[in-house]
Amino acid sequence: MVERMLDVLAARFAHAGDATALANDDTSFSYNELSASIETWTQRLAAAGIEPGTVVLLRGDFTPDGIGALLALLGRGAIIILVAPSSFEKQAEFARVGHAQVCVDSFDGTITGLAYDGDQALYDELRKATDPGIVLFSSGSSGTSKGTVHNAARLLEKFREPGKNLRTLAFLLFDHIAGLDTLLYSLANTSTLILPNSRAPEDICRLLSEYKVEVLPTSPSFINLLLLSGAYARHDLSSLKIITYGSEMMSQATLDRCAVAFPDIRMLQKYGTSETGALPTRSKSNTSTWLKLGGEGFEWRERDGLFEIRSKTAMLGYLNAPSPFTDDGYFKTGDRIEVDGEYVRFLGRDSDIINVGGQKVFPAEIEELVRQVEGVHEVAIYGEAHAILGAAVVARIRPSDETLPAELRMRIRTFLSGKVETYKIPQKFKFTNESLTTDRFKVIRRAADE
Amino acid sequence: MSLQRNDALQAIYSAIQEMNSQLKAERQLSATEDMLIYGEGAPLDSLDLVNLIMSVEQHIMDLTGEELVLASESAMSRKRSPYRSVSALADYAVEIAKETA
Repeated sequence: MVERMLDVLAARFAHAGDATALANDDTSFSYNELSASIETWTQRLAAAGIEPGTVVLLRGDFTPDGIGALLALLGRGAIIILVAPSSFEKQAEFARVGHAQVCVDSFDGTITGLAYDGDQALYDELRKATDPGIVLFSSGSSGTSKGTVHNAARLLEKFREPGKNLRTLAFLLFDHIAGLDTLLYSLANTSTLILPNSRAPEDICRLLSEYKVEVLPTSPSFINLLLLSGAYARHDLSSLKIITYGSEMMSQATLDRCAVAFPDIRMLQKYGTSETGALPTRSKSNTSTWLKLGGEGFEWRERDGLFEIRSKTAMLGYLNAPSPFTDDGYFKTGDRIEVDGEYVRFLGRDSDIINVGGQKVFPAEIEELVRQVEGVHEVAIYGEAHAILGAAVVARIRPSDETLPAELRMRIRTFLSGKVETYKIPQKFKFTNESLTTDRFKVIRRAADE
Repeated sequence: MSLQRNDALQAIYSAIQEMNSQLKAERQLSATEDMLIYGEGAPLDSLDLVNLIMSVEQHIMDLTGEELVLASESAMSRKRSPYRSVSALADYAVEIAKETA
């Protein structure tokens, strides 16, 4: 029988011994210490009655305890709903949609029971196979988050073949597919993962320099900010070999600026979705937005200009939405592509979704809320190209009274703040006296002149 | 379009006031020319920066009735960022207003 990947990892950790697994200003954790932390967490989980197949909501981040708890839960065969600090305000929703039975808080070490029963057909598949599961949430069109259920054993399988040992900065999020991919790759190759306390360009550059980081996985928006802040010139980044970027469109202008600012760094584009996992990719060159996709376990195709993927690491399905797969198992990503032989270039999305610095905004969710604001007769939310964040959220408003634009703008912003994440609050407002709906009552998200 | 430097400053100050109503006490911006905006020693995070710039664009629109785009590839590719301080941003707004027919 093939050795379980978790056992393979445990053996690699033991072999790595005193090599540093995790580090930042507050902490340095060797692979031995990480193994001990996993052991401690395993005992705590067992004492709390967490059995294989238990649905656990894990509050965590890239910290020694967050990672220790995650690996212990995987070892225990639990089904884990990941919740990073940036999603804490959605925790109650994730627990309900995910039927979480237990909450494990890696920050304060508490394990508490929750009111849900863990009953879910997709979970039963995992329990039958006696595999651990991971649930990742992504934004849904109506404002409710969609839970993707993954077989964690399959996700781990990708890392059986040894890769490169590179010091990597854990820039991406703990509860997103790309962040998880970075973590598992780094651990599987017993590399050192540097844990940031802040994602400000100045702080990130200081860590890159002090810890001689070799790989920075990030997003086009952060690269823009990095260039804009000038922070890269104030720190010694000579150790940095690779910058990877994904999750949104990369502009040619940004890539060209990178070639000047970072002549010796390889710029690699990544591609992944919560539904399919992260795909192996290879950029044509440092300054090219064309890339080669696929590899073992991945197939892709173009249908009507749209990108579709079939992968071994695809999710089992959504917790709270119909299956998005075609009959032959392809996932329709909704990304528009251009194909040139074996190379692909991403052109944007075939939908109303607005991608603000890698975070998705669904117009309908924001329109629904803005309509409740006094003084708003009609509203249409849409995206406009933006040089820093890729896209900005624009609200076109038809006011119902004579409120001054500046006042109505503030009223809407104040109303939304605390109700939705900051990046979803419109950055720009346009006022009109014309109707914003068609005679079929569909919102017109763009004016005729745009 | 023509934009007086004083009007540009006024638009930036209005945007700062608007922004302050949503920032915590320790991150409040001061409406002065030498206030740093983005880069070393500046208080704004990325989303704040984008919000501030777009709010300045809105206030310029309120004042002049014309649209001026302050976040552009050409702004990003300057050797010295036009977003480093209030004063630099005002200079930049006046400069590109001249270029905008």
